[in-house]
Amino acid sequence: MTLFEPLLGNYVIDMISLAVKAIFVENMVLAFFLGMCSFLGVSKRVGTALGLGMAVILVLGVTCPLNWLINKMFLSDEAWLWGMLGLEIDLSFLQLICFIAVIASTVQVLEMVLDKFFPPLYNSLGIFLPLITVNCAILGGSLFMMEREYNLVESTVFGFGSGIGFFLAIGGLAAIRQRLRYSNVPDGLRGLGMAFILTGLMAIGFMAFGGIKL
Amino acid sequence: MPANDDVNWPDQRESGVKTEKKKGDKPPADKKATAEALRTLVFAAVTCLIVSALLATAFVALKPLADANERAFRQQNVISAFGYQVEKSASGEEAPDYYVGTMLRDEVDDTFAKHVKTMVIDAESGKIIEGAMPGDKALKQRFKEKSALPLYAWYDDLALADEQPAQAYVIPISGYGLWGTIYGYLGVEVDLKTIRAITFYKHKETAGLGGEIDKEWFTKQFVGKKIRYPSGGIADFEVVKAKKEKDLLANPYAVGGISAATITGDGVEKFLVEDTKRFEPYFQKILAANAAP
Amino acid sequence: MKSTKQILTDPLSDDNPITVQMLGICSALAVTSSMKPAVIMSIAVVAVMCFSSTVISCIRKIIPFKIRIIVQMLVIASAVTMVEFVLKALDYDAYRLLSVFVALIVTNCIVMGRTEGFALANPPLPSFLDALGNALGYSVILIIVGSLREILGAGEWYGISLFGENYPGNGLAALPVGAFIIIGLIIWVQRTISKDLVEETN
Repeated sequence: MTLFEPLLGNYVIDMISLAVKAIFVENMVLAFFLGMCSFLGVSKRVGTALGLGMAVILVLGVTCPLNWLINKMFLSDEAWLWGMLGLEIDLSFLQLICFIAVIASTVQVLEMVLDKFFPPLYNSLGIFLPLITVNCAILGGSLFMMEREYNLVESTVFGFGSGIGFFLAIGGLAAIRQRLRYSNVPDGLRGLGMAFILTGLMAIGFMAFGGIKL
Repeated sequence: MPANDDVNWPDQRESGVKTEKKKGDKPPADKKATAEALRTLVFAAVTCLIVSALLATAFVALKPLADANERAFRQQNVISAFGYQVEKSASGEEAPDYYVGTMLRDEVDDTFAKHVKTMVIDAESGKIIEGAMPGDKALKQRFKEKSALPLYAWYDDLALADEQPAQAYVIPISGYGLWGTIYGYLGVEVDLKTIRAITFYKHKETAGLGGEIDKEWFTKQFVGKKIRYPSGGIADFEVVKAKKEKDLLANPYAVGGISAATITGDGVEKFLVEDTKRFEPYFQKILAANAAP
Repeated sequence: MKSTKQILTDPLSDDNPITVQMLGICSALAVTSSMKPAVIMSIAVVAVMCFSSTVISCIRKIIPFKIRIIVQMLVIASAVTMVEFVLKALDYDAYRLLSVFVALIVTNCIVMGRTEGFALANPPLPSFLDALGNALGYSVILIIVGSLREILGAGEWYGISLFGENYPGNGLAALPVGAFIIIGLIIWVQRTISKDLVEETN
């Protein structure tokens, strides 16, 4: 990476490093186990899985910076709005509720957009689109962003990166499960049990990225 | 392979789990519908108010307790870095000899008030920033960049702090391990050479692997080791892979690492040295002051 | 109509929220690296679920249909926020252990699954029992996985060393991977015992 430093500058490299971490090393699904329900439910077909993955990329990429802004403006104890009015109000106890509200609204808007412009995708995602709202990965993304005290740019990079990570994981699992339909899996393991073990093996694979330092 | 899903999803509008915006559709001219929409709005508003009131009350009531817990936690870690074994309740057992002494959690606050001076140092000049404390919001960015550094000094008698040198110092250390930033404190003796103790209080390392850094077997190795060469420069402290007991005991500038957690060990050794070097401007002043007869 | 006893005991095995209903899996994997966080998480979930289901059941007749999802979320989020406060104030160590996963109970599908699926249509007492049953079913799995991961991974159970100092530790069990595989095996065992849970071939 020292080759690229003069070209790209430290800042860009930090952002790339953050993105790679979010996509591979700290993959939302495989390292932190967030987003499992929809992950296991949708990964039976590659097409649907990829569609869900893309929706997640959009939602995560939008809600992380959006929640950052809302926190900065209203909720945190050094909020801009109250600071401007000269008041010292700490609304951080409403954080969870606000984040969920923002996520729900974003998903609602996404639903409307998909319904208008991509109806086949909207139909094939069916019930799982509104379920993105309660997808732990989305809320988890915002909470991690708060815990690690990212700034606005870092939040955006982190949001999109995590979404891409989810996309890769779900796509991969769907592809494997689709092939596995033609194999002889023991009765008790069929379906859910197999999915778990497969995900475990994928997690081992992604662990290989653990030592990357950019 | 079939092009579309062969699963029939139930009609979206009927499904039980679907989020709706609060204000719903535009109310038609119907009186009943308007009343219904109004009722929805009122219900939503009332629920929000009740929820906010409930949470605000709980927050205000419990915040002092939560804050006290946070402060106590930080203080406990600093005391641990001064070499004390902090216990929840008196066990009556003798502390192993690599500890300076034992203390109960309840006594930490008192001890801090009696013996510990908390300061913030400007990294570049090595001068104390008057009136600043580690929790200051104004310095939050500087703490993050490490241009302002918290420092804790132990005095047997805090009242004589200005006239006598401190008996020991504790500095915060932090840096990247494998999965995230590791936070800890390093305690050094008055000679600014010998390590008193080290503690790691926050990390994301894997339990059983890198996570072993907060276990006693790892941290006790540091007691008595040196972070400064006899010539005066900061030592290249190492967390080594091979664990030959004899060699490790003889080497004052190295401790044994955790098997299968090399990256964590490498990270620790790196930020340990880096962060100690940050205090050099200040430490050099202390060394000069102590050396003068 | 289920009997009261069935409401409470079904989720413990035949209708287990994690292994049968496939809900609440995220936290089941994340907090089970050892027993202690698993136990604290279980208690938190029991508290949140019982509170949410009971409250929703009490106001079920006056909630306007269109905003019922949001109202449920509000109630659940408040319950979780309060549990967070209490945890932070009373047991700071436990709070640090669980960090963001307490907040993530909000998105735990089991909680909303029960308020939407049961509490909205049933009186308070059965709702409370249903919530309790499901929360306990969830806890059972959490404790089993937590125990296995801690025993295999670090040779300890709730911090008590079982095999002595020299247990080399099974790193795989301590990591996410172990959790996935252990749950996969639990599901296998459960489905081998109750054949009617086996999924059909496509």
